[in-house]
Amino acid sequence: MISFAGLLLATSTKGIEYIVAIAAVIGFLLFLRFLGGPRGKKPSR
Amino acid sequence: MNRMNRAEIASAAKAQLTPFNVIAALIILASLVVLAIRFTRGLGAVTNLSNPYPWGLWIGFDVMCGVALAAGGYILASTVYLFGLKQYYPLLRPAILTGFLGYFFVVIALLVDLGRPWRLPYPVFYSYGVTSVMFLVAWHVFLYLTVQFIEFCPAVFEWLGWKRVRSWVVKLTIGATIAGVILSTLHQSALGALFLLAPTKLHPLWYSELLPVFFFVSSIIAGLSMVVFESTVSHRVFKDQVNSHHLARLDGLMLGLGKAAAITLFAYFSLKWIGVARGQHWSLLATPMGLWFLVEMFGFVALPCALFAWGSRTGNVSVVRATALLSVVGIIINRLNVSVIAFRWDYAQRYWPHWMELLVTVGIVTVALLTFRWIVRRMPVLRAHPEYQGLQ
Repeated sequence: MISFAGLLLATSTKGIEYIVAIAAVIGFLLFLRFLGGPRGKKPSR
Repeated sequence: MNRMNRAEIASAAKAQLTPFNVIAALIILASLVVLAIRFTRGLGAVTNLSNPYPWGLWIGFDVMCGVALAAGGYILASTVYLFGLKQYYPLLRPAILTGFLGYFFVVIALLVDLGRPWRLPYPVFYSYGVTSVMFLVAWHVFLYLTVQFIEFCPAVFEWLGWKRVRSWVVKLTIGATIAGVILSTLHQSALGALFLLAPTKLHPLWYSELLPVFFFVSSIIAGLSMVVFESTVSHRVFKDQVNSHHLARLDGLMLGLGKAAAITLFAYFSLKWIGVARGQHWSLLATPMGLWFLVEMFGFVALPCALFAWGSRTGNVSVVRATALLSVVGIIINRLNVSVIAFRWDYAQRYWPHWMELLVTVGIVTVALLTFRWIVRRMPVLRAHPEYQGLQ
């Protein structure tokens, strides 16, 4: 996904394409962090 | 003795008279009548197809959806054998069987649509149309059916008790899996590439130079969702076939597949909007077809993505299972949109499938379900064969 979006960025010609591709990559990374994050609260010390 | 045999036969026949079997038999009989009309009087007698709409339900649903929903085979095979996630092995055989039957009945549906079944081997053995996407699809479906048969052969040979032949076939598994992934990647995207030939006929919101990528990425979603959906249904219907220790691990596997589906759906959602941005078709979103596009994007891509993510993060297996069905419906809607609904969208005389087209489609799905049931009840698909337990 990230490499594909990078490829699209490299071939983009219009401003909106850059914005959508960058938003897609940032959103994808945040989504992965959300999915991989801890479930529930961390145990308090 | 003779009388006893007759009584046994009568009771066995009575046991087969379930509502499902009776309805299935009626559907198949009616479909056979329609097929007889189709092969004797032509497509015009049983379909609403025309020159502007040469591809209808049989291509849009049976072929386009059938190939996408059969993707579970290559997804699970690569998960287990190439990525080494052996814990998914219990889901592998049902996925390969679903994939094999899916492709087999896609070919049957294609025969019904094309007619002249004796010409089926032409692109493979006789007439090489090397510049056609359809040539590539024909070769790939032919090769991938063979690959899936090889992948499923161990279950057949375990059932038959052919130990030596089984051990030979098992040695081919890794090679068959790699071939299967290559072939699937190419023909799943090739089905999307078919529509690159029709830039003026397909609605601009669905048409994109990225169509092959969309078809391939969405096939991963279809495969993952179908494995979850099929596993949910089979573990209820064939409860007696499943080992108890396997059932205990099932929920964890469903959550893992749900997470993978959420990630792929997110990537697909992003790619689709990149496609819209590249085409500069923002203004079309305010039209009726644009609203339908938004329904597909948010109702059948973004919503299942959020539900899969939420379900897998909170450990809610029921949400993951229900979302798999929503996701499967989304894939069907997408394929029908590309091949039927958004195709010649501006043409005055819209295509609507004839009831006989619908009947044949339902008939093919029914035969596929009956074949799946026949195999699962006999071969070690949902359960491990007692002699090979621990080897898997």
